Amino acid sequence: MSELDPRLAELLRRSPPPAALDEAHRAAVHTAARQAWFRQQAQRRRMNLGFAAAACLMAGLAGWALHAGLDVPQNAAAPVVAIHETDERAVGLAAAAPAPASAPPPSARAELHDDSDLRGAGPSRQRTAGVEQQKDLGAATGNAIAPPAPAAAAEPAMAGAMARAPAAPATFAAADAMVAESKEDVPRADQRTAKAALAMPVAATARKTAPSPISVPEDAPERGRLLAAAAVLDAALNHRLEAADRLPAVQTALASLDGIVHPAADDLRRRLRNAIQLP
Amino acid sequence: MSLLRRYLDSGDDGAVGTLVDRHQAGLLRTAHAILGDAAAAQDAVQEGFVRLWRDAAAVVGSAGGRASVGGWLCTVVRNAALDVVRRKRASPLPEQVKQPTPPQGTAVDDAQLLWAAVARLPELERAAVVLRYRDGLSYDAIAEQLGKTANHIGVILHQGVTRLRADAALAGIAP
Repeated sequence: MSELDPRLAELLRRSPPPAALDEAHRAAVHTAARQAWFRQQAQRRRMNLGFAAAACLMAGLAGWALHAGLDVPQNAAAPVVAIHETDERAVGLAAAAPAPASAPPPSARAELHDDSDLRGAGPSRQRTAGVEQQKDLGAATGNAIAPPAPAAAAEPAMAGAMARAPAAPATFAAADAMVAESKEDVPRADQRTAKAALAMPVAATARKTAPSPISVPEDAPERGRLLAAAAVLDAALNHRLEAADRLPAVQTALASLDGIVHPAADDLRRRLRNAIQLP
Repeated sequence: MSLLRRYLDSGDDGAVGTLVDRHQAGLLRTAHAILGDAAAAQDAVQEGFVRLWRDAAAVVGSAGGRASVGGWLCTVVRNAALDVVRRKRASPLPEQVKQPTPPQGTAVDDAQLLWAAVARLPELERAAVVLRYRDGLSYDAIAEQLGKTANHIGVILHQGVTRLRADAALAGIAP
């Protein structure tokens, strides 16, 4: 390894480097430091503002999505109580109430009321099936087939009538009743024509009063009362109540909804009031 | 690193002054060794500090804050000085051969001639020779300043001394 001549090294050592920045350069360094710091602060503020704006946007989007997501499935996914289910619950309620003397036991009533397989069949078949079931029950329980309950006993009559009444389409049941009233003075050949003519306005009324299925949301207050009223409404709309039982039963159901503040209760009230006006 | 954090957090002017005081001497020595010019060395060091303020957040964040501010500054100043040398080489100026500090004593002419010979060395050889024989740094310290290995510094020094000796002999200031 070669070394520099000591004299040359000494000559180099005599010219030392600058030990510190001069004033101008030092001031420039401090100024640059301040400027850079303020620039970074401004950048940081801008970034924070951007993040805050993005967070607000995301929160808004999330809220909107939540709202939109809850809005649609709320109707679709909320448990809708089917008509036959409300009927079963109503039967349960009726079992708790004092039954009329001729009413079959609750288990028999529930079995009797399970007429879902008869819906959609012709009215004569439904009536026949209902009568046969009632006869069978009467034989089983040893009781005669009871006449319709009096109007004064509203709630038991409502429940009993629901249990007894066969499912019949509103159109033909109402038309049957009206034709039966005028049977004496209408010739037999014209009875079918008169029945069809009478069925048309009755069907229109029925369509107005039952536009949609009856549903009671799970979160509704006093849900038991709502379900019972819905069952009464369903029975009234489907003419499973005798004409004499229908009005007091519907009125009692309407009265049972007093004090319940809920959209479902309002809807039931409106539909029960319409049901009162049914022929 | 804590000073740099203090500067970042509050823009503390005291932290800036402390950082400058702590690192300026070593940086000026390296820049002067490479450039051979005091004014150019001051400019290079100033540029290094300006870059430090500009990239302070990145320096603090790099390697989890374990990076050395001194090492970072040294690299930046060395590169700035080498850039200046390359620019001067591309467009040589008359001031390039001038020496910054007038030597004291009787050997004025010999010192001027010697510094002129040093200025003619390639930049790395010049920096290595100056840091070794003017500042008395070890090979390891020079290697750290110039970003080379100690062995590489030995090779560079050998080449530089050989070249300088021949040049000085030609100038009549060395046997």
